Amino acid sequence: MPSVLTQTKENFESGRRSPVREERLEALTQRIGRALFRRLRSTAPSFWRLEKVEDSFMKLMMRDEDLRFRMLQFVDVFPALGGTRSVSRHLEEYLSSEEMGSGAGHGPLGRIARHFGRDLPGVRNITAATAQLAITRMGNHFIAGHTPEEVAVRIRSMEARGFHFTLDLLGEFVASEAQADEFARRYREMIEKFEDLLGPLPDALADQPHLQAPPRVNLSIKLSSLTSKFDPMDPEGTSAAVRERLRPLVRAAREHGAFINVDMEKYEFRETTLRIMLDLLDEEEFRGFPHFGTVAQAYLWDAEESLRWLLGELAARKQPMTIRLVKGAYWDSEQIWARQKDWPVPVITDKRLTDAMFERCTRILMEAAPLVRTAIASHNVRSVARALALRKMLSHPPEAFEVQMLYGMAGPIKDAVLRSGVPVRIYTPCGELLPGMSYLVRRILENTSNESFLRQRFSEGAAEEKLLASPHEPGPEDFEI
Amino acid sequence: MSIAAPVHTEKVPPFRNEPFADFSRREEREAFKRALADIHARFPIEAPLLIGGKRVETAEKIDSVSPSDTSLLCGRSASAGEAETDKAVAAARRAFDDWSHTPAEERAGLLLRAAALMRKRSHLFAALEVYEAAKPWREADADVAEAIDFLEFYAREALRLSGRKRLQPYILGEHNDLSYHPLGVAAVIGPWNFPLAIPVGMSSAALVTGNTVILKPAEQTPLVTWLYARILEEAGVPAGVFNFLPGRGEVCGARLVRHPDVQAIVFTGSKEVGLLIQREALAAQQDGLPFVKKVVTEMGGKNALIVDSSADIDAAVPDAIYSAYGFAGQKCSALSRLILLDDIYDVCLKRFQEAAESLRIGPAEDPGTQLPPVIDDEAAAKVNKYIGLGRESARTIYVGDVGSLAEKGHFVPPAIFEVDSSKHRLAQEEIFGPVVAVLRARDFDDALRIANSTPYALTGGVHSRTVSHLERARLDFQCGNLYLNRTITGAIVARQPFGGYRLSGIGAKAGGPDYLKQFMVARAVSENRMRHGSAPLEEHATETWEEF
Ligand SMILES: Cc1cc2nc3c(=O)[nH]c(=O)nc-3n(C[C@H](O)[C@H](O)[C@H](O)COP(=O)(O)OP(=O)(O)OC[C@H]3O[C@@H](n4cnc5c(N)ncnc54)[C@H](O)[C@@H]3O)c2cc1C
Repeated sequence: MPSVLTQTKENFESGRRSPVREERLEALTQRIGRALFRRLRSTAPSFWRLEKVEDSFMKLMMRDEDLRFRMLQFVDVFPALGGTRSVSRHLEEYLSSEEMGSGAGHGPLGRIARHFGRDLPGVRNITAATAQLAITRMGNHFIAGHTPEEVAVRIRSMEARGFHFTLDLLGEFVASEAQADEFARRYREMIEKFEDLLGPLPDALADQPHLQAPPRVNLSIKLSSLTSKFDPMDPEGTSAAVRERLRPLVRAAREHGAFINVDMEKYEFRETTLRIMLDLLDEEEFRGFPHFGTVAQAYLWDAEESLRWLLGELAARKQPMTIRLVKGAYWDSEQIWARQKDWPVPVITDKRLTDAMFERCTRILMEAAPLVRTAIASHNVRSVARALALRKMLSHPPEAFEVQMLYGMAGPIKDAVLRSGVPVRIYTPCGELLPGMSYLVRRILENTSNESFLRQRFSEGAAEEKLLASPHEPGPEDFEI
Repeated sequence: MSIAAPVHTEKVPPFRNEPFADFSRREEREAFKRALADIHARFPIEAPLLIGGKRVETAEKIDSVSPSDTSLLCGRSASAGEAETDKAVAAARRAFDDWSHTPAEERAGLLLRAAALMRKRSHLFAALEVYEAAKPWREADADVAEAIDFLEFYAREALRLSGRKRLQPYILGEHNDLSYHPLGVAAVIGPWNFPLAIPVGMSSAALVTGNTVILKPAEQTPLVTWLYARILEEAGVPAGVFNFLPGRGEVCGARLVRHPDVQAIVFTGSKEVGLLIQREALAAQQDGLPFVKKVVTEMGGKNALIVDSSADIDAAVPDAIYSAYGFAGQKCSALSRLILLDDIYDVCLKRFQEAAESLRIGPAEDPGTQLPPVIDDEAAAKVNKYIGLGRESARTIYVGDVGSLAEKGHFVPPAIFEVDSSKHRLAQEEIFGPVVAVLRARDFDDALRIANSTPYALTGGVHSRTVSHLERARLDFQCGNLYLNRTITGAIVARQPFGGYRLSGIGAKAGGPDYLKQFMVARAVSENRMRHGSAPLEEHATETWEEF
């Protein structure tokens, strides 16, 4: 009897999916999804509550596109502003200038007044101090701490609740070798010292069998932070420059037992990023290093092609790796960059198709076990449920699977997944607000986007059936008769 | 005389910028490497004169060597003397009558065919620029894309401006219209820093409006411009309409400017030569010419970028670096003054300095090169002279080291000097190299005052997230092209029509809606159509006067 794995693989490859298996998989996905939602209901969502000032700030941004644009621009400049006077002057300018508006209409102040059910003078009282408070709190919400010490405190309590972590160091855009050195130094310090900051492993984690394999300290790095010459036009030179700083990090990781994940950035960088990793793993000293990971972005039209290529390269080398599957964080930027250059837009522009691509890639990844470990990074209950269903149907090895989510997002979903017995890793940013602003703006864009699962679930209260609908065929018409 | 296939105005699709090559794609990089090998294998390339449709050799030759490696001879061009110059003018003059009466659709068709041919060989052209002008890959590719844009854009502009435009208000029995007509013979004198785009832009504008052209390329880059002449030949330009005249500026350039049959002189280059051309053109005037020579010049700049207190320094620094050091600062739009607001001065200067220190200096053909050599010995000497001046009279922030590269090509180090007065020579004189003067501003008004304190007004930029400061800059920053929160180089045809004023030049913006009119005279005709009380019924104007 052929194993489930080969059978489903064949079906997938030949494009003739077994309707029975497909149906069973979908039914299981729905069951798991509903179970997750049941667990959700018993937990109060932390972020999407109106009382908090940052929540109402977010609500304000979702009111209309023009306001969202103005507020995001304001959030972007905020950490660079000196004192309260400067903050209030900029706030005033951003909310009153017609010049900067996206043309969606005038009088943003008026709309804010209506939003808060107040008159105009009342709104002018949304003073700099309020905005300051809201943005600082939003920063604190998505960024775990300014220093490794602060972050260690947060992580300790996450670990005590049973979560794993991966650290992300926020920093300046690297335009010089000095800045790249500084990043390398900070990464190295984390690899060498962070475990000491954390102290002993809490029981909640020691109990999880899965943790025996991957190291506790897990670092997510961006290769563009390791050189000022990251240029996809010159992959050889870029690879050489990056590996110069990457080698000592991987050596330190080997020595101290840490895991290094290479995050994926803009599309233009993808090929070079993957190439650098493979170049490094082809070096005698690093061959077979098991605690290395990278990211596959499903929001790209060629996501599947790229993933298959990578899996092929890994298989040829018998190189183990953890691959984090994400949708992708640069959706808005990619569109703008491509349009400005009149290049083909690399990202999928239909959310349903992104979700479908995510599920296809989930399966391709999981079929590459045990050489490849799968990390499903999504806050979308449907996307996660599908992976959990596949896990059952493929008898996927438990130590080769985890779910990852971002710090400050989808708290109840994290809990629900964790309680269903699946390891959950939290991507935890560390750094000051100023260099962390681009990260923060991406998070706000993501959370306030019309297409966001979290927004639909927690802000719009969309129906569970709709949220769990299969992305593989169009859902029922959204039309009441 | 008629050239092949005119275009049908209604069939010309709307203008669209030529996209740059995406070198993050492997196929594109491979294709470009093949083009580099291909062009290298053809060295030395011979570029003759093209006069009256015939190729002409001269005894004297001009060597064209690669600035990245002066032992590499890219080729040689002929060098026109006075006799050849006169012949070229005579040929252009002979061809003028027919060409000026050729329908605009046919002239536009010539440009569109040339654009298509150039697009087909864009990598080959760019590859030659990499060697001959030491343009890094992206810069070379952008230059070719801009050349194609000019051809496509001016073809459409010529169609837009062609024909008779009925004038309003409509008066019964009176017919008023306006139409544009060419000037005559135009001498186009090109620069080496955009060896394709600028000569193509200037000369195609003259051609498409019905003038006949003599194009003199820069002595440093005759070969790239020769490829364009070859394209025009292939596209079917009639004999004498376009003449290619490489040669020495003092000889054939000077002769062209003074020649009594040359009506228009179109020049891009240094302020010194630009002003000299003005004087020479005026001097030639005294010989009883029946017209005033039209001079269009695009000259230098001393361009400033202001980094405001509210700027995103992460974005401002790379933008400043690219604007200052991309193509080694040899763009008229390049940044040469960095004005930093007091409260971010130290942070921003440190980051700018460290980024400059990180620049990789090397030959243009190496895709990892961020700072290529300058064009020739003279340019290198000038840069080094200013670096010397900086060391003596300003605070040296950074002067790089080119090491042994200096023996191979015209490499000069990137340099940064802090000056405390906007009157300092480093903050006033165009260097045309990788040298930046940094100035401190007390506040935004002070920054604008400093920015406006040179006799140039070409490009300028502001990095700021303060809406009212951006607004102030729009009103008061004296420059032809103002860039907000971005690099200050890299203007794109139609999107950012390019050109300055004051000592930065006279003339309309290249790649903009007014450019072609400089190559034409307007004639208004008023016809009385009333005969003894019979007048045509008021026809509704078929062509109305559009917004120009
Ligand atoms: C632990 C972790 C690590 C991550 N690391 C990376 C990384 O290294 N690189 C990276 O790029 N991303 C990364 N991300 C992904 C990213 O930051 C977002 O969190 C993720 O895309 C959100 O997807 P979702 O499934 O949670 O939510 P959903 O709401 O289901 O999906 C939102 C996503 O769909 C896509 N999308 C939005 N609108 C459209 C549309 N109109 N058409 C098509 N697609 C659309 C976008 O990718 C958007 O982010 C990471 C995410 C996590 C949780």
